Amino acid sequence: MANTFKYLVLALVRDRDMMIWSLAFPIILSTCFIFMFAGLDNIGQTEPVRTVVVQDAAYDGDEAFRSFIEGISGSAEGEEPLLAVEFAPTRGEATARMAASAQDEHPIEGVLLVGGGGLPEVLLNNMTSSDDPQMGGVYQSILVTAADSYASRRQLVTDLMEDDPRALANQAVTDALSAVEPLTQKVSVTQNAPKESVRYYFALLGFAAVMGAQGSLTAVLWLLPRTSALGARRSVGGTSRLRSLLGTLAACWIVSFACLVVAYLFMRFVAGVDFAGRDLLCLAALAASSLMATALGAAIAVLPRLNSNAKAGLLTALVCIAALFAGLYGQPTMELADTVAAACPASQWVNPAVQVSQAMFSLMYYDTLAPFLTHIAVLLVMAAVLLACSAAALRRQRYASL
Amino acid sequence: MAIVSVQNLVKRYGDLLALDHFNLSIEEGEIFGLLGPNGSGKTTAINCILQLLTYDKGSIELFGQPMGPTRYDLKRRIGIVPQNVAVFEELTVRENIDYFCGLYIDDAAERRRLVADAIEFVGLEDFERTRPRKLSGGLLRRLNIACGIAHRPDLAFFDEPTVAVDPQSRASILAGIQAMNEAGTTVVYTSHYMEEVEEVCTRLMIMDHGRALALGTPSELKAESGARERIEIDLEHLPQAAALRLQALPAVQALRYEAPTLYLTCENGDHNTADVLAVLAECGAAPGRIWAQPPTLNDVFLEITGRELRD
Repeated sequence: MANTFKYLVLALVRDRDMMIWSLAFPIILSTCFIFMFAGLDNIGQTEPVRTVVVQDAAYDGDEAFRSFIEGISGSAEGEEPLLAVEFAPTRGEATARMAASAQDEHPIEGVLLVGGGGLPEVLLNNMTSSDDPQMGGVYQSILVTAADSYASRRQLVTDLMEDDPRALANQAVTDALSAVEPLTQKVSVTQNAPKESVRYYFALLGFAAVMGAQGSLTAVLWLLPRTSALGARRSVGGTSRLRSLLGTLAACWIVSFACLVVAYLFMRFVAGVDFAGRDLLCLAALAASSLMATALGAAIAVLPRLNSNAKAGLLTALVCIAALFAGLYGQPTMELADTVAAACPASQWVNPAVQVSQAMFSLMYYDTLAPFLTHIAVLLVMAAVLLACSAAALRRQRYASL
Repeated sequence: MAIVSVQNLVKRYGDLLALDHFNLSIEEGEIFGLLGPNGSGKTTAINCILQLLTYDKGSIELFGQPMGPTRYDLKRRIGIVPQNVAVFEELTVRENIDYFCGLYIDDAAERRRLVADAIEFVGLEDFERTRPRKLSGGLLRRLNIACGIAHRPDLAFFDEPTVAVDPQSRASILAGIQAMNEAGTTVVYTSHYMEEVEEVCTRLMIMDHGRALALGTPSELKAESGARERIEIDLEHLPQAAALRLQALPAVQALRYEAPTLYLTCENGDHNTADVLAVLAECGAAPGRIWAQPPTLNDVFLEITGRELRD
């Protein structure tokens, strides 16, 4: 068995189809994803709003406004500042600088200055050419909201001074006026922040896992007397059928697992996909996935009345369809997959590519391991059923005809 | 002792009777030739003996013991060189031989020695690290043989091992088979090349339609068959008296003269040419070129199996 295992591993590693589809293709597609989705994960994340503050006499004379600007442009620990402030001595120079920045990647979104009555004035940049026009609008809204917030607080202080000056002597009131307390608390419902691109990578991992069936399809065809002279020759050798089978399937499993691990490591360390730091559990998922793939390839290999080419074509078709419903082919197919999943959840449970990608999702987003273990169990059941289906053909010793 | 003993083997493919109460007995130390036209049942018989095919009736014994699909103890004593080259394209020459040797020998150290011997035996020392797709047809056949015999079997089946190889490779393969036999391996050899069979086989069987039609040494089969000796003699003129006396010779079965050549068909005999030349000399005819062809195994084969085309 060890000899069979050793040489089957060697033969599979040198098999061009196996290496192209199970090893090279996921890496190539991951590389494409790196470039395709470079900006996808940044959508919805804001940069500090680039702002010019006019540092004129009114600014110098307004201590409250200066404090406001310092507070809003300084960064608290672990957080980005709200504004990225630059100073200009005059309004004219500030607006000129704002206009000149229109072609920058991050243009100056507006000018802040102390206006009449000490209230802040905001001059918005109408020529922003931000890569994402929607984000340009968000940045200017942030700027306006910040200025409005300052103006309303300033108005509140002014009103208090007129109506109840003694209240300002109360430390609690002044603390409340100066504090910037958030009105909402940010709570993440998932273990990790969701990223748009990981769905593609997980779907690709599902595709690569199912494509691993290519190895066992090839290796089992090498074992069957009716499909190749090599199979016939091996069947009459002095090693028991069971030992040959176990050696062959173990070799397929280990090669398919190794290919998946390489794809995983590429995604993890080159593409920078976050697997929530649960690497060992990811490897366990890949082991279960490659076992399922080994069983799938064996089951297709023993199908009667199909020649080797037809079996290879059938596997390719299965992999492509499975990957389609895992959402590998882009946004429209993801929507299709979601629609099908909603209408017919069973279709997702029998789709190995979906199970692999969902197992990865479970690891990334759930605190509990229950969903992950459910998907792994489904993969193992698939493997057991497929192996049982092919067992009769695989353990057969003699044939009525060849 | 009979190394192979097959009794009343019956094998059907649907309505087709592939083996019809087929009997075979091969003694230890023989190079046994199994001959027959395409579809005669040779490969079916071998596959039944090797337990790759089921059969409807009959018994098979190897080394004096009943053969069965799980008799790995017996299978380990058998070597198989199939008609189609059956090796891994992805493995090198040495790896392939080691893999197939490993189907019979578990001990790695012993296997290393046997593999080295097999490589030397088939003359593939310069190609140990070469993959099969880079080997010529003759080298591939030699690799196929090395994979089949590296474990030094007691009984080896060679199923048309010299198909599509050049004369040098064929000579090398035949010499190798004879050397194996001298080292103690009993050989079962199938081929369509009659001159090969005549050269290497100590005994042979001609089979057709799943039945044994003739069995014996090549000389016995030629002697027992109705195959004829053909004699051609260049003659400027065939005297009438000479023609009459030649036709009267007991061995002569047919005579035809198409100037300047005389064609004679004779019963198989040891001195037909001498008898004919003596008659010509007595009649004053002066022969020129003389060509005599005793019956060949090919003639015997065609005599027994017929001349109609097969699939």
